[in-house]
Amino acid sequence: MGQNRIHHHHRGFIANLGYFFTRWGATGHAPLSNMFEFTTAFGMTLVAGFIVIYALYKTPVVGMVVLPVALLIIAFASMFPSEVSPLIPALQSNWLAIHVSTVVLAEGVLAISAAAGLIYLLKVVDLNKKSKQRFWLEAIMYSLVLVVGFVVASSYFTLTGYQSDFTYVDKEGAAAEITYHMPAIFGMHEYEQLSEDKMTPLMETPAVVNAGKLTTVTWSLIVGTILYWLIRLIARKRIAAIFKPFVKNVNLQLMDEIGYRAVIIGFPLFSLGALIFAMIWAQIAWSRFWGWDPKEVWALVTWLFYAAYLHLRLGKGWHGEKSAWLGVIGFAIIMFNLVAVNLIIAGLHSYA
Amino acid sequence: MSLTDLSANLLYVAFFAYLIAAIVFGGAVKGNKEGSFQSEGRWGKIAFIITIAALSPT
Repeated sequence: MGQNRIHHHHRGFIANLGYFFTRWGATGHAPLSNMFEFTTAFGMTLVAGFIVIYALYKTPVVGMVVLPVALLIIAFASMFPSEVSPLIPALQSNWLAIHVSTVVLAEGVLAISAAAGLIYLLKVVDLNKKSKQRFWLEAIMYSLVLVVGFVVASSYFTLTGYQSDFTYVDKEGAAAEITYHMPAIFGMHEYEQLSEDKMTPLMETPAVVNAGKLTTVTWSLIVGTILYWLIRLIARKRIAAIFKPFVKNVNLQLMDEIGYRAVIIGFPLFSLGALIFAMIWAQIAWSRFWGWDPKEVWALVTWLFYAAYLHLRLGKGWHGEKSAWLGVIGFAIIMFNLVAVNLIIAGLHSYA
Repeated sequence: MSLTDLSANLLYVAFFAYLIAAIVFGGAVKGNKEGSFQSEGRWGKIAFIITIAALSPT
């Protein structure tokens, strides 16, 4: 019976690899080239990391946190265009597969550290007492609801077929066009509205900001906040408190160990993918190893953060709750790098 | 059905399988009254198998 189960697992992984390489064959490149493909792969590597952890520690509670987060990530991914399109010239390289697959794997593993940290915090933070910890734990739950807000807002405006066209001047000073799929809260630099009877932007942004994507983020904030308060009103307690009964039997030492192990595996992978491989490819594609592109800067910030995590844990004895907070903050930085840097700030990595 | 359509449909399947696995894991955790943090139990095993099955389409 046990052996049969193991065989099922092996078949699942072989099918997964089969799917990945079939899509690779169909598109002619590694399916990691835009926000849809990268974010879907991120959800997948997160679950893959969990499977390894589960096989080692048999801890269902980690699955109870990781799987909903993976669901949110996949739902978030599905809001981006999923059509197969030819690669832009800068991406036509074998380094796409090498660099991006290492990064996505590293981020999936590092996210396990955040999941273990979140479980740790849900157990130790006293929700009946006013404290900074209670505030920030609830802020984490609020940010997860914001992702649901993004999915709800995107789905609603897609279903209603909302479209509004604008012309604007990009950061190189060239004329360009953009179509908003949500009512425009922010206008692009020196915009001119082409569609009639559609919402006029409340404010114009500088050329370095993608106002279309900023509008999407703002709508997600609005809808997510409404959803958050609806949940609070219905449950009549903080969202963190809803999860308290699920973590009462959690072994804190084990969660601390899982969080730490995830970082010691994820950190070297991230160093390799996001810095070393990235720099090699940058040299090939753009004739420089480093150019202070927003994505490069935030990859460095992420790397420095996890280096500090290891330093503080190994050198200063930051175990337990402090380590758990660091794991969660690391994930927040990864998500900021994925969402804000890719979508809002115009740079060399704005492919979606 | 093209490969692209197939992958999109399989992503839906994976999404709902993850959803079911998450609920089953929640049930496994709630049902674990022994206080043993590493006791996966029957529901934990079922949820794990669903997770792996879901991973294959994505």
